[in-house]
This record gives sequence, structure tokens and C-alpha cells, in this order.
Amino acid sequence: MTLKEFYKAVGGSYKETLRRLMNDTLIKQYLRMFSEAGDLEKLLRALEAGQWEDAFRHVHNLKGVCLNLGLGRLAEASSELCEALRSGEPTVDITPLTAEVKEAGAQILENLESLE
Amino acid sequence: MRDTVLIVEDVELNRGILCDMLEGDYRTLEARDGIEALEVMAAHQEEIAVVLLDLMMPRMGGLEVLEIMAEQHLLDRFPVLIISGETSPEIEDRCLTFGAFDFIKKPFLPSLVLRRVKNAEALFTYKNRLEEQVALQTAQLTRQAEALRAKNAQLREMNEMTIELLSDIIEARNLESGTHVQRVRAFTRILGLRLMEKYPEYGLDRSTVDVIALASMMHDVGKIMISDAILLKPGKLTPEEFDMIKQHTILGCQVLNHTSYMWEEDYFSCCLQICRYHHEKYDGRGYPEGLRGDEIPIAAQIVSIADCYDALTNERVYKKAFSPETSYEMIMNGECGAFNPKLMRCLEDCRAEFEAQLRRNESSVKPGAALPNGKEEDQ
Repeated sequence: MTLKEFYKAVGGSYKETLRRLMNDTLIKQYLRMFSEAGDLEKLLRALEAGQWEDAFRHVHNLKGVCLNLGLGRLAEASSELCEALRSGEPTVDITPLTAEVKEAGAQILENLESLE
Repeated sequence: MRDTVLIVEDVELNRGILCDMLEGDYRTLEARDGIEALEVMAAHQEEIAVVLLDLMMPRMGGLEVLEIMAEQHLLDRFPVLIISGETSPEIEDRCLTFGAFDFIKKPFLPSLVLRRVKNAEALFTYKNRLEEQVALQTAQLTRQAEALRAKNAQLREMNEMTIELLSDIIEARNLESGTHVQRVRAFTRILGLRLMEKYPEYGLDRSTVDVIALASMMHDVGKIMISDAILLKPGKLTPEEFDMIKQHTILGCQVLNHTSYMWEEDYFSCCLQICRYHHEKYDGRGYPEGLRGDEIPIAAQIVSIADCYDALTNERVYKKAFSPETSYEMIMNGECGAFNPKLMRCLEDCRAEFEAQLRRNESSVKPGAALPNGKEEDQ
């Protein structure tokens, strides 16, 4: 799977990312760092434990990283969850937001494995 | 050498991207949160050119870092660029209010981040250099002004001391009483201030009047050069002896010239004018040069009336004291020679003040204390 195909599969924009990050080697290096950092798991653990402050920080970071890496779907999902957690314990049901983050994240990790 | 960018960001990936962006143009230092950032800043104060600061970090966030940097005056040392995924204008505004130099939103464009870091560095250096220069110049100017003020005060003190010294000598030789010199000074001041108000064409101001009044104390300094045999001679003087007396105007200038190194320029020239010309008359019939009208320096004209008024109202070996009324009339009638009509009008205005001054002098000299009277030729 090429980078272009990978971005298409995970709902991101290869063209835009390449424009910013200059070359494929760097993008691949960053994506590998992304999967190794395990931010997604940290977020999910904090959510489960009801540690809202931690959860906010993790989802905020996740959003930032996704924006930088052009991972559109996960960036959007984490951005929505981020706003829901901004003032501590959420006042709305975050189950669907969490599910979308989880799904988008899983999709990325999955496709990363078949990236050349 | 400031060639380093400090990247403060808790997400390793973001730090990595930023490092790659700056590589080749800057060295980089990294910190994972605010506390680490402050430690790195303290250790590398002289190397850091720009700080890139994330807002959301564990332990200590970006806003708190800004606050502490402001307290420690670190914001004067290097610019801080906020890098954040926050998009609300309120947060951006808060950061800039807290002293951030610029605000960069994620996702960042490498070329733009590099350009903005460079801009921040250039502007900041320029601004700091300007401020440094202004501070330096201001300090220098303040120092110079202070030195000048001190010098001026010193000179003024020196002048007053010189004048006092010379009037002491006059007094010690029993040529004039010390009180005569003080009275002439007081009359000169009153008349000078009136002239300043009534006739602005003479261009007098308060400090000039003060200089003239102080310098008036020197008007008869030349008498120390004239022998006692003539000065203290009882009875009438021969014409030759009187010619010798007239020399005191020119001799006074010689005395002053011997002390010229001690004087401030405006005092000195004023003393010279007064010494030389205080016996000139408005109609040209005075001495030593027979100047007329406003050829006679105005300082000398003022002192001339003051001196005359004092001689008339006080006792001399060759005359009794005239009453203030008689003295005033004699001057106004021209019995003491011609004076500047404008100054006569001033004297008219100041008549009451002159008489008050006379009374003040009387009460300060207790009865029985004989005034050492010298000889005063008051034609």
C-alpha cells in the first residue's frame, strides 16, 4: 500500500500532508512515531477510568498530532470529543464520539501495518 | 551566540516535526513540559534565540510558563511563539496579552514556521538593540546633564564666594561699609525687577536681574587700589586727587581681570560693566568714558541709581544723611546728574519699596553701632 492509498483509506489528505511535510520518508517516519506513541490507548484508558482531565489532555494531543499528520477523520473525531471534555466531566453522552475516535484510530493502525 | 530554538511540547511527534522543520537553520533544544522548559531556559539563557511553546502540557502549561517568564524578565531576552491546536480567538488574545510574540496554529506549515521564527528573531533583536541604544543614550545624557548642573552650581558658588571675598577686602580697608554693599544690592534688585516688567525691550529676566544684583556688590572694588591718603583724606580733594579717585572704575576692572579664571562668563562680564560704567551719566557727562544714553550698559545704569540713592540716604564724612523724600527729589530733579528717564519712572514706581528697604536696614543696625563710613563721591 502506498502512502496515497493509505491516506485515502483512513479519510485523510495525502496531497495536503505532503505539501506541508515535504516528503514521503518524513511522513512515514512520523506515522510510525504516531503508532508507537500509543496516545489512542492512553486516551481510551483515561476515559474508562473517568479521569476527565487526563482524557482531555490526551484527546487534545491526539487532535494536534492528527492535524499535523493530515489524518482528517481522526482529527475531526478527536476534535469533537475534545470540546465535549474541555470543562471536565462531560455533560453530554460521549459514547458515540468515543466510538468514532476508536474506529478512526483502529482504521489508521490497521492500515499502517500494510503500508510499504 | 543566540542560534537555538527551544521547543516546548509534550508530544514527541510534534517536537520531531518541528525539529525537522528548523534543522539546518537552528540548533534545537527540547522540553516536554513547562517545568522542564524553565530549567532549560535557565541553563541556556545566552543561546536561545526563540522559544516555541505549546499550551496544553502536563505539570505546567504554556500560559503559566509565560507568566513566570514575565516575572523573571525572560520575555525581554527572547521571543515566545505559541504553537497550539487551539483555535479560539480568546485564547490567542490571552497568550498575546501574557507577552507571547506570536501565535501559530496547528497544523503548522514547515516553511511558515521557519519564516515566522526568523521574523520573530530579527524583530526581537532589532527591538532589543533599539531599546538598548535608547537606554544607553538616555543614561549618558542624564549623566552629562547632572555633571553640568553640578558644575554650574559649583561655578555659581565660586562666584558668590569671590564676590564676598572682594567685598570683605573693601570692608576691611574701611572703604565702604559692608551694609552699603548689601543695600546697593537690594536697591539694584528692586529696580532691576521693575525694569524687567515695565520695559521688556531691555530683555531682562529674573536670573539676569539676580546676576546684576550680585555683581553690583563689586561696583567700587577698584577702590582697594587707591591709597588711603586720598581715600581717607578729610576735607576737600584737589582736582588731581579727584582724578585719582575716578580711576577706581578702571582699576576695578583690572582687579577683576586678575581673577577672571574664577568667574562664570555672565557674572564676569556683568561685574566688568558695573565696575567700569557705574559713574557714567545718561547725558554723557559721567566718567570714565563719557558714554551717553543706552551706550551705557543697562546693568551699570541700574547700579548707578541704586548707589546714588544709598549715598544720599546715608551719612558720609562730608555730608549728613538726607531724608528719603529729599533723596528721592534730588535724583528726580537731576541734582545728582542725568539718569535714564525709564529708570526714573521705575524709581517712581519703586519709591515705597525703596523706603521700606531703608527701614529694614535701620532696624537691622541697632543704634550706637557706628557704621564704618568711607568716603563717597556722589556727583
